[in-house]
Amino acid sequence: MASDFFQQQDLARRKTFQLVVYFVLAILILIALVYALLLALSMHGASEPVSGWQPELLLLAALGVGLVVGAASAFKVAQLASGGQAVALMMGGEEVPGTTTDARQKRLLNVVQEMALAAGVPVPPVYVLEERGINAFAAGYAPGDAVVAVSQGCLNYLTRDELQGVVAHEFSHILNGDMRLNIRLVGLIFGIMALSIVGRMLMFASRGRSSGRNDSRGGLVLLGLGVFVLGLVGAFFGRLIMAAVSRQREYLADASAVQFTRNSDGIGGALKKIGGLAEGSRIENPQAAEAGHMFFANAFAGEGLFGLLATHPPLVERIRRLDPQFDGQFPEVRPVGVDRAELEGRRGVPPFAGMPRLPGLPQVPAPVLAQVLGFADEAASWVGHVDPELVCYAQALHDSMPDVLRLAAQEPFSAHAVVYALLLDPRADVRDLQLARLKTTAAPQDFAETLRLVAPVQALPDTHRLPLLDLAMPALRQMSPGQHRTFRAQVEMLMVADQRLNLFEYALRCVLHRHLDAQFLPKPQTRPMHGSPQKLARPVATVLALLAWEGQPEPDEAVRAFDTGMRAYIGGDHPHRLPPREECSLAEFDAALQTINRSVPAIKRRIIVACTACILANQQINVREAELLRAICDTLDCPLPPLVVGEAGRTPGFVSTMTSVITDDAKR
Amino acid sequence: MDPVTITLLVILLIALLLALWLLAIYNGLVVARNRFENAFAQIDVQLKRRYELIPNLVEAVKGYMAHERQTLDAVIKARNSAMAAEQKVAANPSDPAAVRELNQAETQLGGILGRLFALSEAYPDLKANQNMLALQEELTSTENKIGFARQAFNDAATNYNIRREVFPAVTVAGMFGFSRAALLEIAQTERAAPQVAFQ
Repeated sequence: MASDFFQQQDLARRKTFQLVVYFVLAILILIALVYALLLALSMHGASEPVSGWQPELLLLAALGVGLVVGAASAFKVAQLASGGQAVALMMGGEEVPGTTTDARQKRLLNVVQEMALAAGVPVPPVYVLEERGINAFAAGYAPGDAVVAVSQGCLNYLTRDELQGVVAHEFSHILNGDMRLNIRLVGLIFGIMALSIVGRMLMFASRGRSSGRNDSRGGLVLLGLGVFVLGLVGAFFGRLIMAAVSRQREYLADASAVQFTRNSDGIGGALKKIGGLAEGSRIENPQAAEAGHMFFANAFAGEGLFGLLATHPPLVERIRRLDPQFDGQFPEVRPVGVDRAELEGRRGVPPFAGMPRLPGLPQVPAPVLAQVLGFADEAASWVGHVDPELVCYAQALHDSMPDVLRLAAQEPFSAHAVVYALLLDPRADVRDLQLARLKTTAAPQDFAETLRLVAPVQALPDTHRLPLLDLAMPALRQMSPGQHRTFRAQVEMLMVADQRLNLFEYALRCVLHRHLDAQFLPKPQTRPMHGSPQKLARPVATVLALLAWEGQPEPDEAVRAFDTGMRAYIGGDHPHRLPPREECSLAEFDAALQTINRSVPAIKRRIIVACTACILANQQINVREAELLRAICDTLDCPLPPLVVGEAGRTPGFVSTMTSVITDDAKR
Repeated sequence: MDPVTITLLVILLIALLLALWLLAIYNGLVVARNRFENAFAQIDVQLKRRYELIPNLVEAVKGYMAHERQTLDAVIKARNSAMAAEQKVAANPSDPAAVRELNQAETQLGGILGRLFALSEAYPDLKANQNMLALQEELTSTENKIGFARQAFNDAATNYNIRREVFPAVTVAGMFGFSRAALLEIAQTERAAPQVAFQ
């Protein structure tokens, strides 16, 4: 694939690095200019000639500029990086409750849920902005704390297809790491802008001062003016760079939206409606001023200086790239209604026929290493991608989820009971023990709600269990910190009730911790440290060992799976041996995963290829392996679309499409 | 560079940092306020659901409890005034007077519903009625959801109240009209009422 998730992530990281270099250069230039300014002023004020080299003046300039720009950037980055929810709340967004009765909001939630399930990320919270224009944004620092916000105008004027296009565009930003890039850019520019604010303050402060010598006052005004102009000019060039980057990312997101939905009319139609609507894509909220690049389309009226400062490419140009036949005539825009079929999404996508085929499925039976590796490599390129067939699959998954569970998952009170019910063991004796403990520790109504959900959850096919958790995530995020503490303690209690953590419990814990703790217990960001695959060979071996034993009970098979995985990782012969089963614990696995997590995207890709190869070594994926793979990908922040697409109730051992295709072909 | 100028520059720098800090506090308050206002939306949905259920309940018991006319009328009246109060709060959840009014109306509604359920105990036919059972079940579950969402709302509102009362924030709060948020405190009777039905 031309640009996969890891390359995009790498690109975003490199871009950020480049920008930081530019920025440091800009600061150095600014310091030099301020120094020159100070020097000129001191020469002007002094009666005898002054030396051109004055270290204390340089120090003053460096300290002043460094402090102002550093403090202001850090402030802005901290504010924007405090999680997508905080940003959405700043902009005056209102969260759409999962239980909403408004048909338009319901439709929006369905569209977002389907897209999230198709991408393999927990459903993000959805916000509506009280704005009449058509616009949207995604905010957050990582896929784990992302939110999606759309304006009321989107709900009023867009059809389901168009809404889906807009949501896909925002998901592309989430999956491509654009938000992080944006946040840093906004921070840097705010820092330089702060310099001009200081300049203005200097001018005013010295004007108001009555005491002091006359020429010193004049000098200060001049210094203030100089700093003010420098700040403005610096911020202007900063904006120029940022706007250029931002415009490229918008084209990419538009193209991805088409790729995700295989429908250029959706996003194209939305853009055309922006052109046809009097309010366009304007955002009135003053808080939006600094965050123009986060939006779907230009949030402000003017394009500024021949479009050089525009955060988005011209509307007509964007539409032309999607629809070359566009004649430049915008349609007249009227509010659209919501009918039942559209709400459920029957109209927007081709009807879902039977089992979905995974993209790029190999059609040849291939029990040879090269084929397995090739397929694993292809699987890794699906990370961070959404395929229209996966959207269909997600819709089918969404629809085949029993109503009682789908409704329960969308409401905070019953959502936490859903998680309790998911954790109940299928073995009756363990379940009784868990229920007995829950009864003593949980509130009676929590216990009653859990009991109500036990039967439907137990009847749920294994393939639906993690997606159910994904659906419950927005509601779980609405708990208060106190409620989350209680919930977390109950979850731990239920997990260890049988004295051991099983794989599903582990996977569930990974997803829960990854996405809820990010909100309730903010942790410092870790930056990638490991750039060499060799150094990580040991933790990778630990991860592959557990995967191999989970997939293959037979020692020979496990050795083969382990070996396949290691070969995929190292790319040839390797010195590692599969440790005996008793030595593979989830605790070690978890520790290894945390180490691996601090590697650069290119290595993460190799690790995912290795894990997939290990799982595929016997050409079968069972649900346990798939859940483990999901936990791995989730911990590594690499959203993996649902790989295992079992046919509910066909066989007791959940057979994936991939398996069935491969084995069917093998029989032939 | 004379010392006066340098002092002035230092003061300006401190002033800038101070301004940034105040801005951070202001933004923090805005986020905290929007957070608890948003938390009300979750309760709102459930309260509306309950107000929809109550007329159905009255309709269901009417045939059996013909001479409890007064109680039934009182239930509908309490439901209507609670609904009016709820709409006011939904329009502006940070209006403490509106929240207090809702507290009162809800407490009253809870009390009168409790009485209705207590009275219904005396009608065995009614207790066996499927429709009535389903409605009671639905009311209980809505009640539980309201309880959970209310706890989240109160936590968010308390968090906001604490934030705005801490020292530097309290000056910012005063300047920009961040008023104290009222909590949703509904008297115990209301929570007890559906549990009568549950047993």
